[in-house]
Amino acid sequence: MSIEIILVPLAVAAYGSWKARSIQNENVLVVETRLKDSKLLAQALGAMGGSSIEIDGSKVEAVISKRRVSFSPNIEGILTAHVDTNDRDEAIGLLVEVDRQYGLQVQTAVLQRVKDRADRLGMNIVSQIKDDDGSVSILLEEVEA
Amino acid sequence: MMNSRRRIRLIVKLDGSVSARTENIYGEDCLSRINILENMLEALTVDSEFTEDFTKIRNQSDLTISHDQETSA
Repeated sequence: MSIEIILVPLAVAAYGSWKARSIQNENVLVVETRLKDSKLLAQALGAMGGSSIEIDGSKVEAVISKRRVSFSPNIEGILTAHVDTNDRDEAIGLLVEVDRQYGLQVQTAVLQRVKDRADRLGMNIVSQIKDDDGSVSILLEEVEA
Repeated sequence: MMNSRRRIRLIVKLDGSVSARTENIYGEDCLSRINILENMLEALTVDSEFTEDFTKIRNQSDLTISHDQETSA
């Protein structure tokens, strides 16, 4: 071995961190997320039982646990969530689950890309193993020229 | 006997982030794999670490498998 690297998919803000704030006099909690891909987000919302899921360009709306949640991109394309509630803990808990489900969608997309593109890039998938923690280990081997 | 083929080990985590480690790819030759992985995964490298092997081998003109076997143990 000669190099080790960490990669973050473009669907996730590389250096994003959660920032929550409440809008005064409105039952809305605003949270800056690390999510960037509206399609993957819609899939994540569907996976966690969301209803009335609507995508309008980069914006996504849904109803989760009887709460309306909308996501809209900031200037950097990172989605900001608006949760119709004044219960901060409830909103954060809901968005933590959204984030978890989104991560699963990203993982699935990444695995599919490896499967679809390895051969074209001159690599064979020698093994693919799902680990106890849910991570997936893949061994790629370059085809000798 | 150690496998000397050029390999890349990936760990795709639950949040979609990926750690990658090259094997039997020496010196600056391994740098090209960063770009390949970024394109394949549609991802951005946020951290990288060259192992001792990288600096050792890049200063030698004669790269051999036996050297790797010694340093990878």
